[in-house]
Amino acid sequence: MNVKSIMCPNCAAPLEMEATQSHVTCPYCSVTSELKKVSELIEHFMLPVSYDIDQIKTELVGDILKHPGTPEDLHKSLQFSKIDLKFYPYFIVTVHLRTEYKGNGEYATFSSRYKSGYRRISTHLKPEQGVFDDTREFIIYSAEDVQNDLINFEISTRGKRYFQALEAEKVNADVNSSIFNLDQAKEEAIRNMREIHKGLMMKELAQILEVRDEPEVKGVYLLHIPFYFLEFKVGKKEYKATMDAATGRTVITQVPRETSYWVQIGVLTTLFGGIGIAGIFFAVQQIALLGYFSIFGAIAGLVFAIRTLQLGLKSRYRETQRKKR
Amino acid sequence: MSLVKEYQCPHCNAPMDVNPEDAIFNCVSCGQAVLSDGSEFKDHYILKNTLNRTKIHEIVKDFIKKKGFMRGIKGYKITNITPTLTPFWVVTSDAYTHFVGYLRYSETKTRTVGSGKNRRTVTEHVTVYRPIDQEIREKRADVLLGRRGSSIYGYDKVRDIVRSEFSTAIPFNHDHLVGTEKEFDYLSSEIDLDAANQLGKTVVFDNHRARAQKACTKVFDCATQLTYTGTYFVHAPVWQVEYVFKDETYRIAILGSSGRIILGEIPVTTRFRMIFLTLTFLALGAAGAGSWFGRYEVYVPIIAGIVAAVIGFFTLKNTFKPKSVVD
Repeated sequence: MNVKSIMCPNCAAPLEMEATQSHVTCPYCSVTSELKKVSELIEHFMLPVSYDIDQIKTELVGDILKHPGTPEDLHKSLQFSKIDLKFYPYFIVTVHLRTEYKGNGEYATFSSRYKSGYRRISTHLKPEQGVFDDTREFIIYSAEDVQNDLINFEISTRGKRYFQALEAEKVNADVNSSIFNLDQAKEEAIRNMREIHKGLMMKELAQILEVRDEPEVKGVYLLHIPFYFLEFKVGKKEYKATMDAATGRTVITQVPRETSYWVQIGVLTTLFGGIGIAGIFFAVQQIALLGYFSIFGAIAGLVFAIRTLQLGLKSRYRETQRKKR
Repeated sequence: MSLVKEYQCPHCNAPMDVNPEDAIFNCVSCGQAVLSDGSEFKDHYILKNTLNRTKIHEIVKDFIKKKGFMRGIKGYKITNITPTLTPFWVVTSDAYTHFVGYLRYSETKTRTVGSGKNRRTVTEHVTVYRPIDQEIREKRADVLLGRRGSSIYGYDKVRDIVRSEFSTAIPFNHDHLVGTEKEFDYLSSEIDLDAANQLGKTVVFDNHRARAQKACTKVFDCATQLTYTGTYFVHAPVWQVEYVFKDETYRIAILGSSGRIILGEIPVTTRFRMIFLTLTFLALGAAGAGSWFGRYEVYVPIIAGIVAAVIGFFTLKNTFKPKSVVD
């Protein structure tokens, strides 16, 4: 990490900071200073680690215990075998894009009147032009290792502070540097925005002939969010979990279950599956007394069995996920 | 000194530990409220809080009694109550959209042909194209959260509620921060007026285009025009409540102006699971009995099977889910 030092303007204490850091709070006199000539000035924030490992354990165990068939003494029996605390970078970029387009759009002529509509349609092309002009916000995950759970995680930016390398050191956390610099992050957001406008254009036009756009970044900041990467043991088995250290939410966790739970799932599946298979068997045999009754068994039994397996075998839990646009 | 700018209270010169969350700072030494850019919001409103901690306890009790029906939730404990003044922008506008396209649908047509012995009915499917040329003209009030890149618990829901309660908002006064709403965490907006208008416009565009696409099989043209009729900054009091039941934490968000539940989590108890598992078997049994009596008609068992499958799909989901989220 690129570190540099300055002197606190208030009490002259030496302060160390990252090259991209824009604000620094002096640990001695608690004066916040803004640095005006940074190599590239990014508004760089961090979320504090508000949950220590004991609190995060309570949150994790609480979330796991909400599932059926989990060991009730989990508060005692869960043992962490590995604890990693890492800060991950996200860029939050607001982009305004004005796109002027020219091309050929479709229109239709109708013939053969039928009630309130027509029987025949023929589509033609005609020159069309227009403008899309809007502003959207993008959250860009910018760490080197691709973790889908972190990319899709619905982040919270509440409680953010100016980034201080010292604070991360205090909690022994690694800071993953952003793979994008400021310009690349802006480019990435603009590219996303262009994709959206392209999608809109495809809806308006059949052929795109000319596109002119003016992107403008209305605001951008870099946010480092702390996550716990945990490995834990329940009994002899190993499980993994990722937790948000700022809000205590579960990014993803594997759910340990008791043996009795698997027995119950097994019994239910066998029962429903049995009904389904028996239904198919008798339907093929075509026994007169049963009529078409076996068809019912085949449909209901198999659907129930598949649903039981689908829900019962679900071994991961995510508390919240970002909605896809 | 040109390299570094210090944050100091303009009133008493005390050093300030600046939180980037705030557009309004309260000095720890003298209580002076400081705006980061020195200007004031002209259209700044607040939904007045009417709740206190005692009332919150009552609302939560009521909520669990009503929504937790048959779950046997006894002995829950409220562990955390955080009141927050959450910032919203309300962008009001006159929106006009003109869209052109067509709707394709098929109609079944029956007619009688022939005569005498050859007389019969013929059924045929006709594909019909209906040209669509419509307008959407409406007054809108779009609500945006005044924070960037963030969401709050129950955000989609709170947006609708704020829209419906906006008419009861009163002008914001700094006394609120030191007076009745003193215990509230105060969040200020990270979005300025211009950005709020722009984002609001995008919401209207997307909404109208979605409606045009719903009305047509294919949209040829869709153009929206927008006239802003006023943009307001509104603070809404939101009470975030955490309660513990059997060592597990659940959350409820309550709007402080009307006491409405924005979103709440309810435990799924063993009793709840058993009820739904029983319902699963009842559905299977009832549909099975039904199809036994109609077993000589092929469609009865098929329909009964599908009905049971659909019911089972949901009852089984309730049997296995970790918690309920209700509003």
